[in-house]
Amino acid sequence: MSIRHIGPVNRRLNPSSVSPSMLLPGQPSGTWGAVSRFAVVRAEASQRVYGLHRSIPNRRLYTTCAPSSLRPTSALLFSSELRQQRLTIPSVMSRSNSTVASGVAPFPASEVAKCTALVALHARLELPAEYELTTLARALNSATSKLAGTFPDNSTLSELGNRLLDFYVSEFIVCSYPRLPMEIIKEARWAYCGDDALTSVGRSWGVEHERPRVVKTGKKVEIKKDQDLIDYFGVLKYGSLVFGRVGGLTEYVDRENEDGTKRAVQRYSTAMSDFVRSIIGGLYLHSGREAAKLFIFNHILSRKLDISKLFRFEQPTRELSRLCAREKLAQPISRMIAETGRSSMGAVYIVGVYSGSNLLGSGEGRSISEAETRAAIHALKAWYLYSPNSAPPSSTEETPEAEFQPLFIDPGQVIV
Amino acid sequence: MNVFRPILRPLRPMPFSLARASVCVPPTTTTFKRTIVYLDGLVEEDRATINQPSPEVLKLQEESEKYVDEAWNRLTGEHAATFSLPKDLLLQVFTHKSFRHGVLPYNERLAFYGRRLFSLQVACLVAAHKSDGPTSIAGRDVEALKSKTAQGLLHSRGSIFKIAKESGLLPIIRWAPAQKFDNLMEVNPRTTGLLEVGAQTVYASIGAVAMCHGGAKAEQFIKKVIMAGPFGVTNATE
Repeated sequence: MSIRHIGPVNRRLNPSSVSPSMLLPGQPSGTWGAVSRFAVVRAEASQRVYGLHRSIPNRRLYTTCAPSSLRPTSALLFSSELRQQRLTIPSVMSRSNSTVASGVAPFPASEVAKCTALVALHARLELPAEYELTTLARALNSATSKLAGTFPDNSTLSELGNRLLDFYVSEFIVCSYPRLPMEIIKEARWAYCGDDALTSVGRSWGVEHERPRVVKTGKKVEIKKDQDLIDYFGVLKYGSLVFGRVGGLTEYVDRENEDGTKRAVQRYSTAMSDFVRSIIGGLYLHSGREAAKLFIFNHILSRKLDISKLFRFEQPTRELSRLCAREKLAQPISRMIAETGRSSMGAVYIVGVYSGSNLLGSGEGRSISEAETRAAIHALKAWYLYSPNSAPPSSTEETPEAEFQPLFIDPGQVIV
Repeated sequence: MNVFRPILRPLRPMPFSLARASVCVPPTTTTFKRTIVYLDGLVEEDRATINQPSPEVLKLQEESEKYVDEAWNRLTGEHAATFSLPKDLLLQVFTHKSFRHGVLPYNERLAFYGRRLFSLQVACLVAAHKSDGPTSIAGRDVEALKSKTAQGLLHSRGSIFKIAKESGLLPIIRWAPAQKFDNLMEVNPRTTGLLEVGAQTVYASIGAVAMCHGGAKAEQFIKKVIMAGPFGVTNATE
């Protein structure tokens, strides 16, 4: 076992901190003394969501694609009936997407309603009846897509959804763990609603995306003019990066519009995460903030994230020392609780870090310094992961007259 | 050494208090170092608990409380009574992380939360704009989010910093600038970090109101003080 990943121990601050022969009897490791300001790490705390989950009867995780009966099959797409209804994409579609379209037309509601993928997605996400299919089609239309100039794109919808998502996720983290350091808050926010997380959410909803095509250089990207527009409404459309052979090497190549201008490109993860944000923005517009909040709690915050795994301490013993000084607690001192096999190859030491007579944390290790470091890390994690069970500020949105219990506000993380 | 062996390491586990009582023999009767280590810990504990701030520090704190209180009243204007905050929280709002190396409570997390609340409010206000255009959804047009004012409020700190500057919060903020300033009003806010620190204070005030009074009142604070107050950004939707 190596302790390199824990970080160096600064032993200079506590020269008398560990003395191997000093044995403390009777105290089981992991219990806490009278220092009530420290809290025991709750393993389940990260799963608790203000009790909001409990009110939802059928919470599920969507991990599979649509049932095959709902997915548009090729037989359905190319049936003669549908072929007759095929629409020709207007020639406007290939123009540059850089400007806000003035000649944008709303999605044709009757045509969109025929898109099986959209209907299936609407049902799968259990969206309310007032959530229109045209909004869903808009959410799938990125600003870089071929249809962006023709129909409204999702750039503003995703901006609105992003604000909602960012607020509720940040509030959940900050109010659940009021002592978390800023770096951990930002990491946790990224883990919940960063591009990668949202992409996996969108993929788990069974949303298909426009496949990038491999092209040869010097050749324009071929776009089927008579591609079924109805079918096209149901896939995520974006200007993807494409590969091509350039002088014997495989490289990204520029895609061009029909008029010769460069097409804007976007990463798959950006396009997919913007789609998920747009769904939330659309939900806010159609059904209100409470519905959007519930959706965020069901689909984003229901994903398990172990915040205690995000920590990485550079100098844990020193940080604990600073913390105790700031909180006016006695200087932390490491003491050996138990040891075995000191002169063997498999020695194990259990060290507890004490403030006065209160055990702040204990750790085990193959060497004394490793155990000491682990003890300090456990003590710091127990401090930072303190989690009071209080209602967040947004709980007063619906009932402004209700009395609000002021939250615990932490002074801030320790600066070493 | 062997005399103390059974005391230090009893065969049966015994309660902690009992074990400590048995170990804490008066130091005059023993010359063993290990017992002194225990007593050192207790002495440190006593010393830490009786530590009181000096009169100078107390006087300084009183003064800053007075200044901060005045600044808050200036910012909130007629709504000062509605959005009153406890003294220590108010001091925390006006303290930047750099002040005294972060020993005192500082406003970083309040600002983080307040900024998100503010952005959400701006987005919701803009999205409430009624329209029947081709890009509207459910009778409301979100395309207004692309407007310069909305983008400025969402993505830049400039307009928020202006509130801090005009309501005279800047001299009150407790922070450690990298350079010495003669006149705080004449320095370039973008190159000195003043922009960041000033805007952060205003965002922290939003966060503090939310955490103290709840989200509904914080929305009122944003609308009445930050948007439409005497120093506020007049209208989000132009």
